[in-house]
Amino acid sequence: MRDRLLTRHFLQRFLDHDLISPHADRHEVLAITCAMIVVSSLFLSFFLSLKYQFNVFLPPGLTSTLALDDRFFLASLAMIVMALVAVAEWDALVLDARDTAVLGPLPIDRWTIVRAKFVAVILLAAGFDAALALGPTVLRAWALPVKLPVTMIGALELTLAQAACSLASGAFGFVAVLAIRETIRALIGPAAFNRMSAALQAALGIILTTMLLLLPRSAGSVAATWLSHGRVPPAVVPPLWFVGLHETVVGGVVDGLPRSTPLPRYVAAERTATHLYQAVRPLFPRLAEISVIAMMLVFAAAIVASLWNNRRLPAETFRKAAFLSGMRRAVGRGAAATIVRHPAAQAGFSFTLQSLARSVPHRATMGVVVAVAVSLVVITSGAVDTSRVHGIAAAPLSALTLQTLILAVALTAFRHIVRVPAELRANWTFHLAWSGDERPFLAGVKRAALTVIVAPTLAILFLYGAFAFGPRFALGHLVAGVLLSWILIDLLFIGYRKLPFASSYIRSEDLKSVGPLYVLAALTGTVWFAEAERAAFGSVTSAVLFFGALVALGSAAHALDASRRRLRLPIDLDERPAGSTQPLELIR
Amino acid sequence: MLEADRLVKRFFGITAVDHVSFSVRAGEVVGYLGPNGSGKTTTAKMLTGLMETSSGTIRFQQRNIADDLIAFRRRLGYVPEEPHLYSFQSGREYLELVTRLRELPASVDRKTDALLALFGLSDAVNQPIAAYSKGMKQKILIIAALLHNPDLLIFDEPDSGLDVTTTLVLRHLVRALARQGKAILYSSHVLEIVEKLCDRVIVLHRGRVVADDSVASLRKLMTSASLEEVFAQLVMHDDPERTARDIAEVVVGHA
Repeated sequence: MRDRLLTRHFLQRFLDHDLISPHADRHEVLAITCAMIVVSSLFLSFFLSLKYQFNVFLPPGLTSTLALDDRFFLASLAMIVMALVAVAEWDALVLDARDTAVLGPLPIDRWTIVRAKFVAVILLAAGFDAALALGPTVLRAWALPVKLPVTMIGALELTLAQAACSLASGAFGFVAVLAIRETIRALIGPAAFNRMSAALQAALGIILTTMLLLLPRSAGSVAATWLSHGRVPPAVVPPLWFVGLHETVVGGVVDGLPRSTPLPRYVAAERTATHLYQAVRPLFPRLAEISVIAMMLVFAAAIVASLWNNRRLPAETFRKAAFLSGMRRAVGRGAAATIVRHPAAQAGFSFTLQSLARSVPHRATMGVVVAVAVSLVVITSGAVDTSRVHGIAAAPLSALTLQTLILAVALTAFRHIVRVPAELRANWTFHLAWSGDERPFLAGVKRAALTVIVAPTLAILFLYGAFAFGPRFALGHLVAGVLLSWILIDLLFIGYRKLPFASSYIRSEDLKSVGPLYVLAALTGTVWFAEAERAAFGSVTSAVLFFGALVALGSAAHALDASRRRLRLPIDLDERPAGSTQPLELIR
Repeated sequence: MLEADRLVKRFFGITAVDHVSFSVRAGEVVGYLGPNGSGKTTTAKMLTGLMETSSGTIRFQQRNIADDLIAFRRRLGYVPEEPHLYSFQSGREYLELVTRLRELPASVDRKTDALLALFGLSDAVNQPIAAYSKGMKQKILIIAALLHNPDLLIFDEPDSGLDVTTTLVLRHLVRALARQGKAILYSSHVLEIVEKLCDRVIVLHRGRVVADDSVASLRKLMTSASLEEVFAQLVMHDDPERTARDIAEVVVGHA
């Protein structure tokens, strides 16, 4: 009874999350998250099965080879999503000082608390893992060509193997993150771990999100690339371990089917596919072995490290003010004083930097932006033949759109996160100290965005451009990027009459309708801008016209924003979301 | 200087503050007393403009504060009951945010350093607020309320969490600030402090003012030896000793 109560308490703690708004109904958020996972997995599985449904006469060799791509995609997806769940719950995965404060004084055996926490973590992982595995499992038999003579038993075997591999790969992703966290904590101690915990969490979040974004691109032709001619050996690619496990157990169900003469359009492809599958098949038992060993190792590491870390209930550890923090403070104050002069602008500048670096929802959003940027760079660098580019005029559109896309994503994300309060309960400080004029504060916020988001992005892209396409390309592109950022930041904040990071967050009701339009407009605008940029560098006159037009556009956006802000309007710091019911105001 | 005129606050039909009227003059320290849930913090929030009144008016120097809330807040220092601060900031960063938002000159940084040193926070000032004790957060709030040299100060249980020394310092500080002509409303549970500190005492019970006079007059009126007895007569309808005995019996009886 007590164990169940404790487990339920710890399960509720998973919902006590910084990424969930304090105004939100946490159970509703959980229900929506689970529904999204189930629906997404069903949709993806259905989408993957379409190629078999549209090719009902697909022969066994081709089916086996194509199915490897699906297994790789689904194993990777389960692994990455479950790892992201673990990263999102990071501190809630283990007992913390608050648990000690609440449960420590009660007459409960330490191992009872630890056991309940373990059970809660297992239930969390199992719930998400099952939701993820549902779609691929339920639709496994659907992902077979109708004319393929697979027996009912065979279909059942495939379904069970799919369920087992999806669950195993998801569990591996989740437990691997837990093992990394707990092993590092055990090795360096809780105080040192607390200092690096946020950075480690952010790094894992960025890496995993990047992998998730790159997954659709990397999950094609698995047999021909990853398993045959990959740049990395298959034994070091975790999703391949589970592909190997799946194929070892049930690969013969399809590959072992009697080969009849396929339709003429499939003959050549079937021969190649059969040879390819037969060539990679010997790898599968070895990969299956690795999957089992790897699972055992990460589970053992997670359990041993967790037990070691829980040998006593955790105590509160605080960071001492160090030399680095003093230096960082001096740099921050120096930057604020030189980049912005007005006191309220300095407040906006410093508060933006502090929120971006230290507030969990803001940091998470910027982490996703970094992941998107890295993914775009990886995709673009693979698509462009750099040896043929000797200037912007000769550059392919994909090389030119990269910078614009990244800036658009980063600044749009920034525009979104300024709407999220850094700490809602503390915004009374703004109420009392507010001068009533949002312009200097907002100017500081914009300068902070240009300093910590735009400047490093452009600097990195400049280095990438100089390395890949040469310094002339990089310099011209950099100037265009600087002007574009200046225009975008003013355009994005036109009409924004709230206080960044302080006003309460009100969800845009029209996001579903406006969002796709915005994405479409951004993509179209990016291509237009890239074409204009390429055309501009054809001659000196067109370059002057191009940059002149950008300066004029930026000045116009700035003037428009300034003119709209001339009229002083009161800023509502505590706007409440519209209730789901209509208040009748009967009682006053 | 500050006048509250028939203030009313209702929450979903429940009246938390019921036609409360009082004034605080320059150089005066007014104690604001009442049991838990009597409406002290609600009044303080209405006086600072953090909460709208259901009805009634608040005037500062004969002007309705709602006419220009920002101008009023420039002259107001407020120490709230709950020390909600940005936990990811350090104490210094928080104070810098407040001074910059108030558009105070850069020279105020020296004042900040001096106050931090006087409140014994110099060593902890660069640590995250999340690591602060309640008393340390309270000190940061007191410093933030004083940095702009306000004319009106509203303290809502400022002594909560403070150590003995700082409580004594705060007591003398409030008196010193009053001597400089500042109007001070001091809400507290510590009757001894209020008795020694305040020129006048307002006692609130179930949202209504049940007494508003000097401590000496109240003692005389209620023929009591101390403010504690006056308070007990005004707001305590149960005998505390008997309640304590009953609690002890319940504790033992249900063991």
